[in-house]
Amino acid sequence: MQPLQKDNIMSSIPHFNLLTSELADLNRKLERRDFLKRTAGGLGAMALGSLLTNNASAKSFEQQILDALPTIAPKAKRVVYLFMSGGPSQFETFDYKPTLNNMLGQQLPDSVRNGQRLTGMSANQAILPIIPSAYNFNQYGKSQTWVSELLPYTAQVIDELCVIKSMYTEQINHDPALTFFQTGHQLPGRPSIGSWLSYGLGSENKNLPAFIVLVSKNASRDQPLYARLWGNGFLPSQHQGVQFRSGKDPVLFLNNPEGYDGEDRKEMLQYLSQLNHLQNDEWGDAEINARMSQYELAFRMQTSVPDVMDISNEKEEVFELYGPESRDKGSYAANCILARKLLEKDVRFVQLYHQGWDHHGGLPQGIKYQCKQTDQPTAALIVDLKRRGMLDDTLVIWGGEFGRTVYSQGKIDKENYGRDHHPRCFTMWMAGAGVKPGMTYGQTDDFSYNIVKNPVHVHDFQATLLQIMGINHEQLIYKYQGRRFRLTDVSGKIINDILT
Amino acid sequence: MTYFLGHLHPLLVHLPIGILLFGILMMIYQQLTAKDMNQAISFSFLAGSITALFSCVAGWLLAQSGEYDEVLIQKHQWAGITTAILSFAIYFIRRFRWVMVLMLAILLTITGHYGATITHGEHYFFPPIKDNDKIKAISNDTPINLIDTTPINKKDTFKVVQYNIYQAEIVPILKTNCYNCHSAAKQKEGLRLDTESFIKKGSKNSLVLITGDPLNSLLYSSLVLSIDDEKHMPPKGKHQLTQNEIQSIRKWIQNGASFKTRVDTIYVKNRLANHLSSQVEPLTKEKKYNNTFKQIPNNQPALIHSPEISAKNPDTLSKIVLNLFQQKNIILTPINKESNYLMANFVNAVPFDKSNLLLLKQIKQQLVALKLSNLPIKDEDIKIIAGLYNIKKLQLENTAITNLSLEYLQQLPQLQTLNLYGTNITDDGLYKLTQCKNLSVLYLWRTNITEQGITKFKMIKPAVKIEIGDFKFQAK
Repeated sequence: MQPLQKDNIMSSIPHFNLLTSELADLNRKLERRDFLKRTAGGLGAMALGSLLTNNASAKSFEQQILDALPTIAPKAKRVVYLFMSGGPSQFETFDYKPTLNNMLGQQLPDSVRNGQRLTGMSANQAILPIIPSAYNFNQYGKSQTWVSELLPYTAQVIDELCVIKSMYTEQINHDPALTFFQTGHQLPGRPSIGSWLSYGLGSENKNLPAFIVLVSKNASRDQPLYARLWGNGFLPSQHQGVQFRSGKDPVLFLNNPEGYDGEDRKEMLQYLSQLNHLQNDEWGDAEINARMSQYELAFRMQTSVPDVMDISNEKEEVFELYGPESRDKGSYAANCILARKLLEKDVRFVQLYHQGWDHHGGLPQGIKYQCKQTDQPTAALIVDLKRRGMLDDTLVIWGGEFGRTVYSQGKIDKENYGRDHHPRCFTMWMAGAGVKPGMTYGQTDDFSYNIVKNPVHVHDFQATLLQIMGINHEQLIYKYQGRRFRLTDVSGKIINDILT
Repeated sequence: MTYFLGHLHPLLVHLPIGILLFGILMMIYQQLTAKDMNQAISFSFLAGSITALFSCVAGWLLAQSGEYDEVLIQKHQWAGITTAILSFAIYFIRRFRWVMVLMLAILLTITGHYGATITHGEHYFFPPIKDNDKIKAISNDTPINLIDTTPINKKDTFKVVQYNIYQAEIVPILKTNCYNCHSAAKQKEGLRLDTESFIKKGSKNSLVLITGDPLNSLLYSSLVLSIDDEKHMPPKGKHQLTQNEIQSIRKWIQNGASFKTRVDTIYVKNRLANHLSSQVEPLTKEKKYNNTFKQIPNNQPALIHSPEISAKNPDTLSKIVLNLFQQKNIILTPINKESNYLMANFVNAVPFDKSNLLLLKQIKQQLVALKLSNLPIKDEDIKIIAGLYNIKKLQLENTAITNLSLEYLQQLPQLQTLNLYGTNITDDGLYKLTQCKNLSVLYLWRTNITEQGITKFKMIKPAVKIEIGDFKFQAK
């Protein structure tokens, strides 16, 4: 094929006292903001501005940061984040509150609630009746951790988990709480955790994205999920999470159109890349590079994705481990197997979403069903990672966006009650690389309403996660529209007590 | 006021020079033409004497600023004062006028020369020959072989030589461009650039060198200011630095402005390869990461703290070697950016090519973790790996190795974590691993190892954690 040529500017100006790269820079068309930045002192200073800021060897602020990553020796190389969307109740899972059993139907004391604003869903209730867990708890493992009878499989691997009972968030509704958890800010528009990690640490496997999202198809979709939860925000767009689906097309628009040959596509991409290179020479916009790398990755994914999505050659014993639903593609259990396969391929960040935990009513039956769907596959994932030696350098995270209230929303009945959103405390757990196994961290009061010991804010969790991945959260910075952004914004402290 | 009068000196000195010379010229003219010009001659010597007197006063005031070389000033000063006295003498005394005029002419020349040396520097008339210090600095140093280059490419032979950036690159630039006004001879603004201590001391008003921050170091920033700016150096009209020289100074300051550090640079003999080496930027570790990042003390697992393993900074590895790793899709990652240890991952290096393993020899000092999972690795390949003596973590799961491999692997003195799941090893092979002194974690799921084998192994190595993968859920 014929290479596309562009006039060489340098050859026509032989005695210009600038480096080639500087000249190329001056000849670029610039965005307004870039233009103003570089010509700070007016047009006359343009050449000087270029001398001061754009030398071939003078690296940008962002590049200097990336060059220094990881700043700390990482304990985990990969993360699998099992996100239980909707807000699982801590009362029926991990936070055992036996004293509530004698208080069924009693009004929640004002001294506990302390004037906290409730959601519109329960704020107008005449009373806020306390409802204990409908399910029993037992102690398991060497750590003697209390686990609900709804999680019999998780209970068997409890000694691998580090249970944090003192999580709290600032958001009380799903959308802002989810966004806050994934991006560090309640308003949409910032990069999600996986995007930050992809940006900061890059991808190990060049044939797969560094950030992959799997959404269970078999969950009750009580609250929506949106692609911006795995969005790249203002980071270059190759760092956005890529959703793998269970159907015929795991990644949308990845396969060639019918009747279109792979060689044709290759040639088309080569020409496209040349055109993009010309455009990049002209504009120098980082998004052009992002687009090129995405096209190239997509082409490689045409072969790597069908390979990794195929779980048919897994051994029988594996399906047994992950439970009966694991043969059903797209189910949470099948996604857990898939997640393990992706992690084996050194994908940096795999995030599973499982909806259906928003039990405002009918909680006992609802949560029983949720646990049945997720308990065995989750525990199986831990077991499977462990025997493959992957729990050494893989971090597993389980949790939702907030907790639920001690009082019942709506009608109260020991067998049928509901719980409203509760941001002041909830439970999540981590396991694997970097965290202490068989540990319980933090403590809530007898009503699991307030935290009495070792509170962990969402930003603290994010800071700890980055720390385990080898990044000081205060140092992973991206400058956008004149402001320096971090995942943990201006806060976040590392929970050193749970780190190995 | 004294400042102002002092700075009139360069202007005033030209008056006595011109007037006195003109007086001498008139004396010669009078001699040749026999016209009576005595009155005019006397007047010119009077005027010359008075302006010389003013010049002396102004010159003395200027010398008080202390910006100039004292020895030269002394000479210039006394020559100037003698000139002034002599010209008064010529005016008042009519006898021996010719002798005195001759002396005056000589004195004027001497004074003028000293004056010019002070303002324009020693090499104003006869510029120094461009010195070859840079080349000398490199060739005088003994080249040190840091990397074993033989198996890579026999055509390219390259050596690593050390040289001091300051001596080899910075001093020659300063010498040709700055010493005229900022050295022993003259200290404009009180600044000298001819020794380390003077550069660090700065000018009378401010520092000129702020380590790591070229834009705030006048030593660099004054070079890139607009040529019309008052503070631009060298001043307008003087010879300017080349772009490369300016960049050298910027890099030097940015990288810590060390006067002592010697860096390794690759010296390639082959002419074609010479082009490559010019793109290799010499970097030392502390220079590369001295930006805004503060170091966090880490409490890391054994992979990191290893007083028994010393490895050179991977930056000392040849770019050519590192490029080969990249070409072969082998991922090399430093444990962290402060560490000299590397991890190698072959996840992208498919289909597997045995010769890729040979590449690892180039980094055997730095390599502490190696992942070869799911590749058709055979026993003979493990022979190469057995030579990578610093490996602590080795992942060989789902490979085609057998017991023979374990015989080779027992030679690895640092080996701590070994993943063998999904391989065809048996109890006999496992027993060989009892020789591994530092072994602490073993993954043996889906192998032919039996319970007896493990019991036997555990009797010798009770501390080793073995993951056999026999966990089964209790049905609920």
